[in-house]
This record gives sequence, structure tokens and C-alpha cells, in this order.
Amino acid sequence: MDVWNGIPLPEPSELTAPFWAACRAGTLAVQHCAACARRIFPPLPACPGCLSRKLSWLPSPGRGVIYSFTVVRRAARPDRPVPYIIATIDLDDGWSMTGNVAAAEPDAVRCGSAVAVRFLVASAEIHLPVFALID
Amino acid sequence: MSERSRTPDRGGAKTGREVLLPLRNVAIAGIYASRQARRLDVEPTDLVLECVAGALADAGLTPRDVDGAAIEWPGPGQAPGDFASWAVQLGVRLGWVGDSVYQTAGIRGLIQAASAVATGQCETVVIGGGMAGSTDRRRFATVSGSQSLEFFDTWGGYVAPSFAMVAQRHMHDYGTTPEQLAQVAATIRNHGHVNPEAVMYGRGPYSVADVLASPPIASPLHLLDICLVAQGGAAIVLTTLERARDLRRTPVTILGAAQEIRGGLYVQAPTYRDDGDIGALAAQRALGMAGVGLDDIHVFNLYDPTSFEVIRQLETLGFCKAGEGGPFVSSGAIAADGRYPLNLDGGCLSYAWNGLQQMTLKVIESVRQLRGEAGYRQTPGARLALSAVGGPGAQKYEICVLGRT
Ligand SMILES: [Zn+2]
Repeated sequence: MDVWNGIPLPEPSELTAPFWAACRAGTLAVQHCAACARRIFPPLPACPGCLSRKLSWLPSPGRGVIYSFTVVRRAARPDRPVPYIIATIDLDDGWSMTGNVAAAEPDAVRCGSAVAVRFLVASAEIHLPVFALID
Repeated sequence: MSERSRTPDRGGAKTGREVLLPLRNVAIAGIYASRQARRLDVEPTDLVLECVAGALADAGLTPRDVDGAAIEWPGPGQAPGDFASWAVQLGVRLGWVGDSVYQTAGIRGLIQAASAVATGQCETVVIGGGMAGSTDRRRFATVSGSQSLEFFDTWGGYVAPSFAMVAQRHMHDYGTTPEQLAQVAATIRNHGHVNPEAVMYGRGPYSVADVLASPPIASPLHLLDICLVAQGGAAIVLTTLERARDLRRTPVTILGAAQEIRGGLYVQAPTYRDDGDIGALAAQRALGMAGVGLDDIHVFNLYDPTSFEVIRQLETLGFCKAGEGGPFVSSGAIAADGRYPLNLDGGCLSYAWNGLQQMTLKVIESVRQLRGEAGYRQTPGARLALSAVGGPGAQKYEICVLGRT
């Protein structure tokens, strides 16, 4: 497992590879069930609504608001710089994910703050999504 | 797991069915908690053997009496991780054996072992285990093994931030304050401050200001809002109520018990929206099975890996309404002299959090209280006790109502 800036880099599986491939192309993507129009994240082998295996990936505009967050000042790994922010992001296209928020002023982050995704190149394979505060 | 809110259409277990399982015909006959400490310099196997022997001795039984086991087997020898190894070590033929470490501890272990007794698979079961001697010097619990959790570890997630994110949203929604969280931490830590068995014995007393002045770990939680990783072990012996009546200790029966499982551990951060009510269904079931309400119960050992998690449970279990948990704890309701004295042993926050068996300690404290063996912290006339573990971070909740016969 590669570590970049104190972050253990994901080793994508067959299930999650499309998410990371989209990140490499500069797009956030979400699993989608055509049968019941449901967005699914984290990805699953089958739709939790109808158990369909016919799932595809949709691009997401990557904008949303912070549902909740925490400013972490004692890291999970000693090599990860602190503080960092973990948040649940409610994406505007109707799904949610856990992720990191980049903020020059951690104390400025609020539940409800608007964010947009950008990507950090951690390795050739892994471009990490990170959410930045927007006005 | 799936869409933004999965609460409305959640399937699976339902309440209201008549419960036929005669769990109340199964009794806790023996208990044992080892010394709990920041670090125990003993081999895990020695610690586990100490707990097994201790619980059997407490019950007045011998290893030869055991015919069911869900006990960690660290090795050496036999097949490490395979609890069937206990058949050889105890020199017995087992009618039932646990097959997951989650069956060795807590209320999940209790339910499954009791079910094995209740359905006649075996008569006398030991569950237990312990953590010791590792070179692992973490201060706070992390969750990953060798495999990284792709949408959690990548973001720097671990146990405390998960609980913190649920707390943060509760504060946003209801105006719950850091002082109210700190009140929980100070109250439970002060219970542990006077418990000679507690890892944090004599380290207080703590005030709300002390908690707020401790270093911030994951907002809104401070160092003293969060339990510290320690080491230790525990074990419990269960047998039929009929047999337990002839044994050394006052039998404690399982009047009601239930679990609520919403997903794998730490796949992503929990949310207050989806996970804030975890335990409501299990509590309804366990209390319904026991045929009692919260006000009938004398002893409460709720799960307290963080201060806020206690506030969440008070609301979810129905001690107070949603959003009122903060003022409820500030009123002194959970103090030793309050209406619902909580975690008088000091809980996870101060007595011990030791990996898996801290969940068993929640059962053991209730048993001690029901037997009248809790010494200086004995709740007078305790006949009904409630223990619970789990929470939004872990995506599971386990709860039981225990009674003195
Ligand atoms: Zn579907």
C-alpha cells in the first residue's frame, strides 16, 4: 500500500475502479441503478433498492454542501499532517459521500457550507477528490 | 449506504412479534474482569486463561463443566483464531462453539451463547477474551486491519472523528453545547475516579472546564470526551437458570436482549440523519421482551466511547426527547445521585476500553450491581439493569435487560 502525505492510498477493486478512473479524468462519479434511478455510494455489488446488478457510473458536478464535519487534530496515522477536515458532503445531484475538505481556516467550516470538488494528484493511479469551500 | 437517507424504507427486522425464545431460562452464573491498565505486560494467552478460570471459579464450576465456548484463542498451539481449540485445552467435548470474535464479547456474545443454551445445544458456555502485551501503542481506537477501508481510511477516518461528526450535526440541529458534552465526560470520569479498578482511578475529579481545556482531538470532541485505549480481559459463564440456582452466586437472568445491525464497521462516516436513531429498534425489542420500561430499571450501563454518544442514547432510548439530551445531562440526571445513575464503574471513558472485551465489562457491571457486589457504588435494591454497546460509528447496537431472580 502506497502512502502519500500520510494518506494510505486506495487500491481500487473491480467494484471501485470506475470511481478512481473518473477521478483521474477530473470528474467525481457515482454508481447508478437505471432500473430505479437510484444513486449508490459507497458502491455496492447490487442496487439496494431492487438488487439489480446492472449498475453504471454517472458523472457528478461535484458541488454540494457540508452536512457535518470534524476538524481532526490528532491524526489516524502519525505521518498525516494535522489539522485536516473530514466531512459528509451532500452533493447537489442527490447523493452523499464522506471526504476531506480543504480550508485555509478550519474554523470557518460550518454545517451548510458550500463546497466544490477538486483533485490532488497523489500518484499516477490515484487522484484524490478534495472539497474546497466556495462562496 | 445508498441514497442520502435510507431511514424511511429500511427493511429487515420488525418489532411487535411475540418472542418465543426462552432467554430468561438462561442465567449468568459467573463473571470475571482482569486488571485493566493502559498496558498489561502479560501474554494474551495468559490473560485469556486467567479470565476463563476466573469466571468458572466465580460460578463454582470447573473447566470440565464447560460444553460451549466463544473464547478468543490467541495460541500458541492448536489453531490460533479457531475457538474449537478450547475443546482440547479444556479437555471437553463442546456442543457449541462460537466462530467469530464478535461472539466472544458483549451483548452479541451473550445473546448467542444464551441462545445456544436455550436451544439445548449445550448447557454451560464461557465467552470471553482479552487484549494484552501488544506492541501497538495507539492512544485512540482505529478500525482497519491490513486492508485499507477505501472510502474511510483515505480521508483519515477513525473511531473518534466518526462519533464527532454525529455530535457536530446534533449541535447544529439542536444547539447542544460543548459544555453539555463535557458534563457527560466529567460525570462518568468522576465515577471512574473513585473506582480502584479503573484505568483512570484517582486521575480526577474533573470539572466541565477541565474537559473543555483538554486538547481538541476531533471537533467537537476533546481528549477527555473520548475513551483511551487500554488493555485487559473479561469472561462470563452462562448456564441454565435451573443449574445456576444450585451454584455459588445469585443467578442473573437475561430478561430481554436485542441487536440492531446496519452495516459493516466504518465503511464510511456515520451521519446523525441516518444513524442517529441506531438502537431505538433494539431497545424497543429488548424492553418489550423483558416487559419493562426505562423507569422500572435501577442500573444503566450505556455505551460511552465518547461523551456525546451518551447524549444520543438518552434520546434514542427514550430517556428524553430528541434534542433534549444536552439539558437532560446538565440537570444532573445521570450522576450517581441523579434519576438515572449511569456507568458507575467509570465506563469506557474511565474504567476501561480494551478492544472487544470492554463490551463484556458493560454486562459485568450490571451483574455486580444485581448481585449486590458493587461495594461502595452499590445501587440499593437493584433488581433490573440495562447494558448497551455500539453506536453510529460501529453501525451496530446491542442491548440487554438483566434481572436478579
Ligand atoms: Zn435499483
